[in-house]
Amino acid sequence: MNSSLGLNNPYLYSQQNMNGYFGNPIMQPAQMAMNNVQRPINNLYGRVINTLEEVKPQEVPMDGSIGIFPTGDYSKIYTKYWDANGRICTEVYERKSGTLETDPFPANSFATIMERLNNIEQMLSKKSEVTNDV
Amino acid sequence: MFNMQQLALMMLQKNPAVANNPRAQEYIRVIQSGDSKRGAEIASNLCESYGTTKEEALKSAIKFFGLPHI
Repeated sequence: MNSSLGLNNPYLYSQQNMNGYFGNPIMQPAQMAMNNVQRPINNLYGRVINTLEEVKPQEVPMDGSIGIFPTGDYSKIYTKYWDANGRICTEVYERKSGTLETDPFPANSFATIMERLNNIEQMLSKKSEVTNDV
Repeated sequence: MFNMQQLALMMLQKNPAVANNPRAQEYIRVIQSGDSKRGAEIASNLCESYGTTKEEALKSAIKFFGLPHI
């Protein structure tokens, strides 16, 4: 999952670190050139975390997209984004307790159907015999 | 003449990550309108979100962009 989403891809993340000068006071010209490269649109940004508190503001993308931070056991997924007021908004998605789907075809359903078919067949056979007798 | 408003606007508009960001359009609108109260509010929120003070942020910005001391 991580590889397809690019969640643990350090290169992907380094491109995302365009949050200005706060966490990155010295930027080399090569880095600046790299940052000017237009990034693909459909990337997801974030990483697996242990606690929400470990997410730094620099990890929240400033390009309008949302940072995705699943917990290690994937029981919760935090999303973070900047709002228009300069604040970081956090939302949490929590896994529902797993419930088994009810089987639309119970194990004995085939036997039940066959039994009913046999009954119908017998009824038809009897009716056919009566008709032939007459 | 050094114009902080023009500089901020230019930096935001030339940054594709910000220029194409619907949320950041509010920052640009505030700078363009010259609404200093709203600008200060956003700046204060940004500093708070980053866990830094206004003075520290200003110092870092001056150093990062090689600006003359204000």
